[in-house]
Order: sequence, then structure tokens, then C-alpha cells
Amino acid sequence: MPLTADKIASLYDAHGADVLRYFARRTFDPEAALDLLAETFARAIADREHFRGGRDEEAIGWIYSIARNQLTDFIRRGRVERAAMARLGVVMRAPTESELDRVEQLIDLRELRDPVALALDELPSNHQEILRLRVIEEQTYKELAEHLGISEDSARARVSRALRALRGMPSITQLQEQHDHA
Amino acid sequence: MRDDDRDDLRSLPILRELGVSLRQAAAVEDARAASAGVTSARRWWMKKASVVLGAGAIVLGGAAVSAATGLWNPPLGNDDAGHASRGSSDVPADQLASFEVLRRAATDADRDAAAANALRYLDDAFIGVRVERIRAPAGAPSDRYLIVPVERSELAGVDDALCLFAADPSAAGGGVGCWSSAEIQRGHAALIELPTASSTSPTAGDLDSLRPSTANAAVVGLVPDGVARVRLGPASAAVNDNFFSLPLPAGASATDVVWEDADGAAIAK
Repeated sequence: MPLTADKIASLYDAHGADVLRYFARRTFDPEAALDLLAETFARAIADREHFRGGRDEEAIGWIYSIARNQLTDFIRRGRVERAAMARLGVVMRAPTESELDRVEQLIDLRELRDPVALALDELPSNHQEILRLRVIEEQTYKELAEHLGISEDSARARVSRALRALRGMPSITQLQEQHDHA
Repeated sequence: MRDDDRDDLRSLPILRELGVSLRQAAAVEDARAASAGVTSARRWWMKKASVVLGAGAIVLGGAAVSAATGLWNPPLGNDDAGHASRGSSDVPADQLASFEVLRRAATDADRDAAAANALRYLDDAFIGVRVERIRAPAGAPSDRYLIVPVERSELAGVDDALCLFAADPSAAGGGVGCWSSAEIQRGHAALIELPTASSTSPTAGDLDSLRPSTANAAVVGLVPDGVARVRLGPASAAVNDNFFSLPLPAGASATDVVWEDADGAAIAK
């Protein structure tokens, strides 16, 4: 049965949050996760003729296969391609701080605590402190900003950079593999 | 993820807005596919085929051509889209009797590089391609067109179909339609070419429902033997190789095309 574009939009309504969580927990980058979510579903609409299946479960599996490819490209290139979004005219504005906070919660920083503690010594010193405060001590951005004498925006950006630096570290990769097999 | 957590995420404005944008894009894409009247797999073919066919040389009626001899064995399909199968049978006798283009000898123009390249995009929806009867219609306005007989078209769900390919010279798209001999006799074998910003976009489908609202649309199609000219409003064109091309006035339907014999008398469909 052909997969219509409208059906894919419905799948987004039902499963978009799960796909966003998938990206958030693998990129540690809320903005990138949102971009990857948008590009994945735009690409699914653009490439729907390649879907070979009929059931919703198969359609979701196919969308996750697109998501995996998007993630691989993102890790290799260090940026999100927005080709399908541009082709279809899918737009997404810049997220607000509260939206970024909500997406960051999907990363589940508590679950990251042990792997981050293990990997901390391997990180550059500028990332060690910010991750210790944010992930291990669970400080809010407001507390972080006061502690470091910087703005909340700067604190958020520094955490984001430090989280991205975690990608590829053995303890983090192990955690992500556990997610993949869960 | 818990359901309430999922619901909480869905309530994020940015995700709701993305959903709206995706649904709008989806509506446009589905409308585009519906107006094309072809399967989505066919649309993939069209995009690829137009890239190849668009670069071909123009073939005009009346040009001196030599008969192509010997078996032709072009590759059919490709590894990405799948491969059409080559037919083991010839066209049925009644089809051969109804379409002169199938009876005439193949020419070099029928088997040129543009035609061969187009055949690389025949996927597995084209079952039993009768390669020896493939023709590029003489008299077509360019070499964008190719007539391909098949034992079965999964696209149309028709046995012993005649397919007409029309590539978009801008490489932005193209069209294909497949019909039975009976459907062609009833005047259903037509592709509508709707002008876009930089190209035409050939379209097959429900011809009655496709009444272009813009100027510069055209209709191309296949007719049986005996139809010498076609007429639509003030426009008229000669039929060559069972193929015609006409401007399609805004609001007109391709089914309004009138058939005429060599004496100018109307032919009933």
C-alpha cells in the first residue's frame, strides 16, 4: 500500500515525540535534535515512494531508518542537512529557551551522570566543570549562570558544547547502544 | 516514554508548528501526486528519466531515416528502481492492426541514445517490454516522447498496454501513461502538459477532471489508425505515427479532442 504524505504527517503526530527523544539522546544537542526531527519527516514525505510495506509498524520502522541515516550524516558532517525541508517548504523557527530546556530533558541527564563521571577526565578542562555542575550536581541554568558569572544563554551554550563533546566517548557510546537495544 | 510525557512534548509550540508545516507540505505533495494520476513509484521514474531524455536531439517528421536492423537489446531498468522484464511475445494481432507505428520498421531514431537511456528507467511495473516494437513517434515536437508496448502495465493494471513516455526537458519531471488498445480507441490515451515556471510537466490521469486553468498547456496522446488529424477548438494538428500534440485551451478537457479522417470527416470514438 502506498504511503501518502498525509499518512506521514499523521505518523508525525503520533510518533514525532519519540523520534525527537531518539535524536536528543544521541546528539546531546536539543537544537540539532529538533532540526533532525524536521528533516527526517520531510524526507519521509519526499521519499515516500521508496517505502515498501503496508502496516503502520513498518512505516514507523522505515521512518526510524531515515532517522538513523540522518543521525549518521549529522555526526559525519557536524551539521543538519535541510535539503528535504527546503524542497518541500517545511519550515521551523528557532526554538525558545523553554523549548530547548524541554528537549534537553529528553536527554535524561540523570541517566548520563555515571557515564559522564567516567568520561570526565577524558574531556577538555573547559567542558569538565560545566558538565560536573550541570549533569552531576544537577544545577539549573540560572544556578550555573550565577556560579560562573555568565548569562544563562552563555551557560546553555557551554553545556551544549560540552554535551556534544561527549559523543563518541566509550562510556557514552555504551549507553547509547543500550538505548538501541532497549 | 510515558504517554503523559509524550503528550507534554506534543504541546510544545515548536513541535505543533512543525506538525502544521509538515501537514501543509503533505497536502501539496498528495495533491501533486493525485493530479499526476500516476503512482508515486512512477513519479520517481519520471524525475530520473527526464534528466536523461531532456538532452536528446529533436526528431522531426519527414526526416529521412534508415531502417534499424537486427535485434536491439538495451538494458531495462536500473538497480535502484528495479528492472522491467523483456517480453517474450509480440504485440497482439489486433493491436498491430490498429497502430501503424507498431507495424513500420524500426528506425535509428527509435533506438538512439535518448531512447536507450530512457529504457534504463523502466522498473518492474513494466512487465514484458516488447523491445522490438518500441518507437519514438515521428512528428513529435521533440524526442521527449517514446511509445513502449508491454505485455502488462502494473501502472495501469492493463495487459497488452501501449505506454507513452514524455520527459520534461527541464529535468524537473515527466509523465507516463499506459493504456489498452480499447482505451486508446475511446480517446483516453493522452498526457496533459501543464506549464510551470520553467518547464512543462507531463501528466496522465482522469482527463475529464484535468482542465488546466492556465494558458500554454498542451495535450499529447495516441490515436488508432485512420485518425489523420486532431482538433481542439481553433487548434488542429496532423497525426504522425499514431501520435498527436495540441495546445490545450484553459478550461478544456483532453477528451474534447475531435478526431478527423484524411477527408476531414469526424471519427466517432
